[in-house]
Amino acid sequence: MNSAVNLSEYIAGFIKWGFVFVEVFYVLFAFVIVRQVTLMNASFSTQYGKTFSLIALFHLLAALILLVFSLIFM
Amino acid sequence: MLFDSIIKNPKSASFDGKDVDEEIQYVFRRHFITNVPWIVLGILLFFVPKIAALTFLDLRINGVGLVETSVWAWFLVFWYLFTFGFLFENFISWFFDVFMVTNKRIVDIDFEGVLYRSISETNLNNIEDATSRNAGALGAILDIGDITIQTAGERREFELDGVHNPSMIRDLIMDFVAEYKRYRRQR
Repeated sequence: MNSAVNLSEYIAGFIKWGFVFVEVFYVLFAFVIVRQVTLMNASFSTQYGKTFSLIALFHLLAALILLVFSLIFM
Repeated sequence: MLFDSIIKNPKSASFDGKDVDEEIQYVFRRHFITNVPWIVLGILLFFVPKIAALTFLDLRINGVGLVETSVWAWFLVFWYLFTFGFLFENFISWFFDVFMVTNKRIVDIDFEGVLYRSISETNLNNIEDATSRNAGALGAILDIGDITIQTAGERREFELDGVHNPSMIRDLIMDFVAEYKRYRRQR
């Protein structure tokens, strides 16, 4: 019985840290997009520049919130 | 302008290093139809959770669900965020990958994904000749092709890929260059 409990705890821990690992990479990816949009806007600026920057920032924010939530609640 | 592949005299556009007396005459980018592969992939990604739900959500071992609701909810949020990120990254890579003709030079800004950026430019004086090509099914059906511009500058070739009506654009650029060179000679 004990070993079964330990095994399920082990799997749950594995899944949680697996998720966190994936999310950390995704946050990095989202941050790179924010930087790239900034560079893109500097290279070729249009009236959509601010909109793209905002979307990229919201995307990064959503990724960060998801990472924090999974660290706290999962 | 958001989805256009040929823009004439864009008033609100500018670029890094633009001179005060410089005006952008044309902006070219790949035709929007060349984005179909990643748009289709994005739509397929959107439906992955529905297929995964049919496969995994009802799986039970000894009456206990294999996938917890909280884990499933996390997966859904993450997956749609990832799909959005994928679509957005592809869209901006297309949008900012432009080729500009100004009244002084041509500027080629290349972006591939989020990690590659290349900017090249040469004076209109350096442009020698241009070649347009239509190849493949897209070229034949939708008149989409590539243009190669030969220059006397350090970078010998400038390429525009996947543009609509490449022979018209080649003609447009070369007419503009000829006009510029005539103007320079008269001065």
